[in-house]
Amino acid sequence: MANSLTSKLTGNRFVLFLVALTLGLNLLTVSLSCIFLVKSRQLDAKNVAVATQNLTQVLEQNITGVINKADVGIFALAQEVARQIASGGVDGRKLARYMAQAQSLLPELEGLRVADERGRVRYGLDSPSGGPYSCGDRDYFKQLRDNPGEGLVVSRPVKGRITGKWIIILARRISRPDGSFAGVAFGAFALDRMDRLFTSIDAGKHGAFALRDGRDLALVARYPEPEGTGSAIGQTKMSNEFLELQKKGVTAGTYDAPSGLDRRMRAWGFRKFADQRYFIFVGLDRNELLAEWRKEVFGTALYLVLFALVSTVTSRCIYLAWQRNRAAEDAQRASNLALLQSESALTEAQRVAHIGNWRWDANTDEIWWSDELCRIYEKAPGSAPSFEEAQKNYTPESAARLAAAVQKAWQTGEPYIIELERSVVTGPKRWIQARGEAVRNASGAIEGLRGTAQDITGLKEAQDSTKRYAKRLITLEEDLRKKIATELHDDVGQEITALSLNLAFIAKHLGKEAETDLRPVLDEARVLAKRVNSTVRGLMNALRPTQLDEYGLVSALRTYTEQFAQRTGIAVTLQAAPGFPRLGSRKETALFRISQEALNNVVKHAAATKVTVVLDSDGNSPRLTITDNGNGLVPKATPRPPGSGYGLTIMRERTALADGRFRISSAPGMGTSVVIELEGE
Amino acid sequence: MAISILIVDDHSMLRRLLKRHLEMQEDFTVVGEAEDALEGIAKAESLLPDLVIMDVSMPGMDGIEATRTIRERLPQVKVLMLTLYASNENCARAMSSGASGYLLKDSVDDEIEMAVRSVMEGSTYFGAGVADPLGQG
Repeated sequence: MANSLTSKLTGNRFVLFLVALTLGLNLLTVSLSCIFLVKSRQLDAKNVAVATQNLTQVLEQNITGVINKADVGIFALAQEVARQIASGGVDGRKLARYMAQAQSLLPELEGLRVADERGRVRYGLDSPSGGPYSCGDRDYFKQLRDNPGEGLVVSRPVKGRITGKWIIILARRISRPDGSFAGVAFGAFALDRMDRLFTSIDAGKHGAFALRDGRDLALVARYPEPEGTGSAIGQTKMSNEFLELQKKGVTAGTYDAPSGLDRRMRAWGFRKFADQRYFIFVGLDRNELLAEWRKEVFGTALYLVLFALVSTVTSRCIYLAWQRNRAAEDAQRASNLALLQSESALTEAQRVAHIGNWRWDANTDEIWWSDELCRIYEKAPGSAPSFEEAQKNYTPESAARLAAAVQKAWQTGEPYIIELERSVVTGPKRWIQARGEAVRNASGAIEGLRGTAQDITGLKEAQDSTKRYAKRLITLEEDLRKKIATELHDDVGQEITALSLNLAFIAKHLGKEAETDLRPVLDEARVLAKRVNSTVRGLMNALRPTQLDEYGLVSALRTYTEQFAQRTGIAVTLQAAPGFPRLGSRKETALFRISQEALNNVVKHAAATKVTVVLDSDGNSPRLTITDNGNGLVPKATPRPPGSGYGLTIMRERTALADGRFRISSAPGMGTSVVIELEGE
Repeated sequence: MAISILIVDDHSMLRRLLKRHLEMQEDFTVVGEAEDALEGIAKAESLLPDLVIMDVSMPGMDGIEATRTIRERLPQVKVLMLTLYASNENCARAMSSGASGYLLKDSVDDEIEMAVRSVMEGSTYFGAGVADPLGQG
């Protein structure tokens, strides 16, 4: 279909079509790539949101888990202290063992301690050496002291008075059996543990974390912290993007904003803890996130450039191929047109010339006949009769000759030209000239035959007619010659003889008075009369030698060759086989005239000094051979003298009229030999 | 004694002029004329001339055949062939039929008298322009 489309387009239109197709494909590819990149970008954003949300969720669970676990220990410790108080007093050693056991289960906590109702730290595994210290001024202590129903209290970050580290205190109230305040049990959670938690999560090279107080967004911990842990604790500065979301009451979400600590643009995910205690923030570096996408953009751009290049090259190749195809099609079309015209001309020529042709492929045994050949044999156009069927068109004799010629051509490759007689039921004879030759493949092996057949009935009729007319003409000529010779003999010759006698009579009786004046005139007249008689006799002989009729060819030729030798100075030898027979007037006349013509040719063209005329027989067939030692036949390329060139034609025609065969052999400088063979009687 | 001559020729004017020419010789006598071969044979037999001057080519029987007949029937009668044809075959055939001389008509005015006398003297005569087919002259 594409071929049919492109084949209908002209050159310029095809170029436009190809350019438009290439541009369209490239535009489509660019569009699809852009859509892909936008979608990819959007998906990335969505994935980032999901990722940050997931991270915030994980961190929330992690931190909450740590707090809850610590709370369990602290709660158990508070309960243990309360139980011992209720039992009559706290057993320091027993409590110490309990705390040691609890501490081993709670490695997240820096230390477990118990303070009395005034805030003095009474029990602890790692009590400071500087004596008892008080936590009564701490907010968590006050809060627990003043609120009997208070559960776990988590302090704001404070600097540990014992460790000096930034810590968060997790504390629970210890109540006496009457519910009065007996003190607090508490543990410290070092904020540098938060750094370890944050770094354990893969948030990229420039990932950022922040834990803020759920009440006032005061910073509890963040990572990275370039100025050291706790350096920014309590800071409450927030990005406008987050504040906007917070105003809307969003407790978990994402936003893009530059980070306060290094001004890097990050994609932030935030979540408020379920217990409202903290906000966790996870920030992923936008540049890092975009790096992958940019790689995709770069890769896609590279693919687009490659596609553009490939499509352009492909288009160019298609155009070149189309051009070649087009040129080939044009050539094919021109070839087809020429072939069509040639076939048309051939068909026309065959029709006019009555020539048909045929082919036979031996490999496929297929036979093909031209329409004109079908017409010649009265077959329907498109017919292709078998060879056996075709043979039926001829008489048995012609069919046999054709079969032999075809067989020979097939076996030896020898071409043939033969005349065949059609088999006709009624009407005049019809004749075909059949030509054939072998068809050879590239290696020269015969792989079929081809040939022509021409209806030459008209030609044969014309030839026959011409032969009849020629025969008639020659007969008429001979008759005329004979008649003129006879008249010369019977009338002119006799009368001149009579004239001579009269002149002799006058001379005899010439008077003396006229002797002087008339005698010379009379003698001259008598000489003239003799010359005329001699001329008449020569004419008679030239017109029709009486010997030919009366004494035959040998006698006539002997006289003629003798006279020829005397006249021309060319030595002529006549060799007649003993007993050479009389051949009848037609054949003897033909051979005599041919001899005359041959000898005349010798005089005119051969520059010969010797001629031999031989009359003999080849079996029963009389033969005349005339050989000279002249310069041979002049090549055709050499201009002939005016009037020459008819001698051979005349000899051939006379031979044909005598039903004989004419042969001539010659070579430059080697003389010429003419041979006429007649059918035996 | 005059030589009696019979002229056989189909051309009447030639016979008349030849007779006049011969009779210019006192010892020549033309005893008869015939216009064809058969008449010539008959007149030879009836007239018994010394010599027959015989044309070769005549309608019907030719002069050579007539000569053969005359010579067979009348061996004493000489025959001198007078013809327009100079071929050797004719001459030889004439001589073999019994003729004593062969003379061409174009030299008749000059040679007839000598030819007649030669033949009557028993010689064989071949006129000018005639080759002796027997190679004798």
